[in-house]
Amino acid sequence: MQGSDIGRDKLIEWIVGAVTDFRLTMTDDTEAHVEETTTLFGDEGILDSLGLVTVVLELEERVNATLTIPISIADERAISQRNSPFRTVGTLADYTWTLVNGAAGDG
Amino acid sequence: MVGTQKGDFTLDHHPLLPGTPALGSVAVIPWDSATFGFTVGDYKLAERGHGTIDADTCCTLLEDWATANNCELISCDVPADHHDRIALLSSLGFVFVDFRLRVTLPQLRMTTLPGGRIPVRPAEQEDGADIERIARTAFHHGRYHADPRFPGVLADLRYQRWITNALTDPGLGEVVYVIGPPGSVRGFYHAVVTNGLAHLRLAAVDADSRGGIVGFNLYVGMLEVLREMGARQATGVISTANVEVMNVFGFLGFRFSHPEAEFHWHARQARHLIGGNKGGV
Repeated sequence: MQGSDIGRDKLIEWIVGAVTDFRLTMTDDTEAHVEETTTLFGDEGILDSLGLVTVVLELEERVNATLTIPISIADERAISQRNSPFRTVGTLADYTWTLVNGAAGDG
Repeated sequence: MVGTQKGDFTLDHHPLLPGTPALGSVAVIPWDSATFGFTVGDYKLAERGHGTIDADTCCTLLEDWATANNCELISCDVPADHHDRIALLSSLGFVFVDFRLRVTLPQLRMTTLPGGRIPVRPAEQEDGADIERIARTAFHHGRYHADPRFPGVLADLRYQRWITNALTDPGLGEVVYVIGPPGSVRGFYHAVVTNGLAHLRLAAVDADSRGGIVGFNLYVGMLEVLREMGARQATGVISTANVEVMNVFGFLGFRFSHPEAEFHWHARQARHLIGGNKGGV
């Protein structure tokens, strides 16, 4: 597969799955509904630091395994963005989509 | 946040009543007293086997010592499973404020750390203002912050002074590292390496980075630095209320030990404490 072969919806699905799995493992909150607009970190975020790292690593692995495209989502470039790409499920998907297509274009 | 200055420096305890070791000993905590502008002290219970304590006598002596030293707050730590001593402290007027644990990574050199994605770098002079701002605003755990009678602004000031001292007058093996470029520091880490042991003193990230990837990378990056400095082990102290950082330590392979309960005694006429000068606790 190539970067353009997966849509943003697929990235959303992967992120929602990883976030939900982490929440089920680490908290008593089995009712949390995770969707594109869900805030991931910060005062209203549903993940802590380790949770966000776990979700990002899982997302990187899925991208790599599915598309054979190595990407690094959590690096200096990410934290230097004016608006953090980790704010919500949707912004993380957008940022990952950019990396996937950039890496695919480079290759 | 990790670290406790009280645990890292030696206090000069004196018997509460000379010749009567069963009543324990007290000391002024000079660095905290200088920061707060009033005296705070530390009470150490006698080792077990010194006999029973007359609580009324001990209370009177504590109050007398506090009055003589203009002391408004006295802390006392006790192992979390010493239930008899915890009950005794309550009878002496101490109130529980926090639990803490020692964290230790015993085999730092052999530990496989996840690759740090965001580099850390030694703090430069121009980072000082950012570091002090983070130190003044980032901390919410530890016994002073956990004490509802202790002014939060003074608890914050303690951490700011702490890191200022580390930046301006570092001792042998003492380092402060930051994450983020000059002008945009996102977090800092203060540690000391002595004889192959890294003491993790203080770490924090700015409010915008809390819960994000910066903190995790700060801990990983700092451990890599400490390993390069020759540290074989890393150790620190953490409030058990700080579960976010405890989870990071657990993920990185740290062990938890030495659970301690922390108590505070407040002087009846304390002028600087919240709810003070109202007839005591």
